[in-house]
Amino acid sequence: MAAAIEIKNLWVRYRGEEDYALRDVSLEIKEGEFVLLTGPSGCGKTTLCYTIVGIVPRVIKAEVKGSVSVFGLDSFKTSPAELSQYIGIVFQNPEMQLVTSSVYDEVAFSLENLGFPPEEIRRRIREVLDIVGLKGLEDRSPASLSGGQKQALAIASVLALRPKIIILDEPTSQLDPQGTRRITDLILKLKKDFKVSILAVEHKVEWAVNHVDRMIVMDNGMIKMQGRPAEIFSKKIDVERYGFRPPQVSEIAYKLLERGVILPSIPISLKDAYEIFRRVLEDGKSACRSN
Amino acid sequence: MHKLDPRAKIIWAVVVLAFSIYNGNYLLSPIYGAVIYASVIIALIISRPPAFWLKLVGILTVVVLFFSLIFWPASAPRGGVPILTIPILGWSYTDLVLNLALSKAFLVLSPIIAVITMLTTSKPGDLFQALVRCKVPYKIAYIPILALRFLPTIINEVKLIIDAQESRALNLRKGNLPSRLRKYVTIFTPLMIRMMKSAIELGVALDSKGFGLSCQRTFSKNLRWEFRDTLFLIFGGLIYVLGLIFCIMPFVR
Amino acid sequence: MSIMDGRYYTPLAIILAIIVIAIAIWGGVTFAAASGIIWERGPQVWSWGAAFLSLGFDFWRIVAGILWIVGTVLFIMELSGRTIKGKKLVKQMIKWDSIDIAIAALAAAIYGGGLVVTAGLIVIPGFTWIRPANMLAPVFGILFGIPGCIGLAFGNLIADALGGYLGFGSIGGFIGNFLLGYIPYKFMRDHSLRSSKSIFDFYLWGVLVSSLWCALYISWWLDVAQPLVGLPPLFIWGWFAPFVFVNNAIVTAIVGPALGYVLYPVVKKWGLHWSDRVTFAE
Repeated sequence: MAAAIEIKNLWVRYRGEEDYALRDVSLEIKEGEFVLLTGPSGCGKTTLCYTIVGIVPRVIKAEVKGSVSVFGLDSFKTSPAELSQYIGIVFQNPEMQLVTSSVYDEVAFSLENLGFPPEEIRRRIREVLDIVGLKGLEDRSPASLSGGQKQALAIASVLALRPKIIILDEPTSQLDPQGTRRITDLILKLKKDFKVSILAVEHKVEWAVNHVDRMIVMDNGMIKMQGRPAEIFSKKIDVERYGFRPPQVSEIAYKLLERGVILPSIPISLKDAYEIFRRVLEDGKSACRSN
Repeated sequence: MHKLDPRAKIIWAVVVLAFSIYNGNYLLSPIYGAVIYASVIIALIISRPPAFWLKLVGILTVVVLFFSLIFWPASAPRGGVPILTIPILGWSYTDLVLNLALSKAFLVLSPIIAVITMLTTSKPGDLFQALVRCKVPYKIAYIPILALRFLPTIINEVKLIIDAQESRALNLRKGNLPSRLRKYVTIFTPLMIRMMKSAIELGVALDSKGFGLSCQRTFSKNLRWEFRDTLFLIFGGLIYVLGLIFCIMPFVR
Repeated sequence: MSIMDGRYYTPLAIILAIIVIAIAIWGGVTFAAASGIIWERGPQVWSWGAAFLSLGFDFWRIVAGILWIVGTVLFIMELSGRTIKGKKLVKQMIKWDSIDIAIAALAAAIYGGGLVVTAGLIVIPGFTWIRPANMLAPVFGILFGIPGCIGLAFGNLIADALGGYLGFGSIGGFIGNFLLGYIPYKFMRDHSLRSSKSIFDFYLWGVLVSSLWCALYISWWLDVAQPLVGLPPLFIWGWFAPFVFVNNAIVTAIVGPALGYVLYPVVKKWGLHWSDRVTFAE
């Protein structure tokens, strides 16, 4: 698989700050990959996302060293118009990223800005509203949508440009469980049916751990761990050291380990946890019977 | 009214202004002024705006009529036939004074109500397109559209901040004027700080959607002048012209 | 020795403060008397209204006309990318990128929404009110520069629209409110509100001059456009002009410096202050 995003020795320091927000970050994301990026607050996750799409340093001024390329295009030198055909970003706060007064206009906005012909705009709007499940709500005001619908609309407005990569900055942080489920299903649909590469930044990792190809952990502007979620969460000491939140079932497993319970592995999902804990209980029962 | 091209509504508002100016400065006929006023009120009512606008127009009518009857008598010509006397205040109005005051009141009211009708029946996106087609730079033209989009958000934010501060025993209604004004600092300071954070988020969102990148911006739905727009303008124009003729005719005879 | 030397600030500031307080008390007392008791003599009994009218319509039309022309030239000049710096006309590079557009739009929403939501602090029930949101005007100007001033202009239009008086007269309000933010932005030498010089400048330019200029600008427009707008000259010069001046001046005098003082470091930290975003070229 070709590299969708390639980052080499990236350093970023915001204007007026002494410390670097990103330190010597090198990373590769392959085409079609679904990557989860996590870490404690302030570790540089959002800065990394903004730098990949060129918002840093174009809009938010910062000193940048190193290179970022998206499908071979230099993020710092390629025009935003060209870059937006390859990569789109959905922000954490749905309120501030919906800039028009109707669902229809919101999806049309980016296409109109980039000069697409009217007929093509109308066709893509119909297509993406169907994909994200907002068909029939074209005339609704974004303010009247639920949190999940707002995020779906934000994804639709990015999807209309048919990017090959979508970056999602904490897409479920402001959503209730129903909204989270809606967005999870949509993201999985994008990966499965449209082969879009996805980079999701998250604190709440439960919805993603079973589906991602790879997980990256950042701390203090650097990449500390990379690998499959099961590998990452099996390292209890590192999880605690870097201060990122594991799934709740993993937290339960850590507590059991502290109390001397021996577990074959650390679960990362409810299904895993059920299997592991059931086996441990059965092994425990047979140990008691034999005693 | 909602289906009409915004350009037709702008032209209609300009026509209302023109006839109101003529009546308010030359004809001075309260009857003709009332005809124009009635036409804009009917246009507003049939467009079925939220009740807030109808209430606002009602209050505005009363206030403008009141102030006109107070202020215009000083500029009215002397003489005339006394028509109206207000008992307790002792104010007396001749026909000349009433003609002037009422005509001026309608000059103020009718164009404003026409503009309200135009705004409440036009989508912000269509108004934006109309402005861009009038060669307003599209970044500048989008500022009021964006402001209108976030107005409900800001108003909610202000109400939330007021509620939060009132729950901390802030009472905006108590105290003398300077102390009440100072209390508003506790409202506007958090609002402004939120605004600055939001400005960065919004700016980043606009940039990520390609705002301002292309000089050749297109529109998904181009404004199209239809026969009903022409019909609306002809019908409206006829009302004003015929009304004018009927008001002038007694003088011509 | 120039009037702007440091040793003159304090005595000048004290003299100015005494004059303003005296005028304020005189105006306030006569306003209450005119509004409540001597009603049939009408608003010209109000001292400020009387002061305005006693100088004659012609005087105000000439003075306000000059201010109108200068204000309009400044508005067009700034929007076309030129500004006066020192004694020269220079090119002003405002990027008008998405952050500037966002600042202008949110300033418009806050100013317009603030004017509507905070509606009025009733001074005399059913008669007059003070608009607290006017305190934002000079603050938007000194913090955000031209994008902030454009936001004020559009915000006033929005408030007019929501208040039900959007019409031909609103054109005067558009540029008048732009000037409310522009005058302190342009003429204050220190925008930090952390020195006595800065606070003096704020009261001079941000309270007195900008409030008066805005009031006269809009009033002249309403007077000249009287055949189109329909407001009587007696109302414009005897009531509207002094009232707009007093409303803006009172609100910004009482709370403007506090608001600016608190917000200045936050704006600088986030790189949103106009001085961090604008460059000038000869």
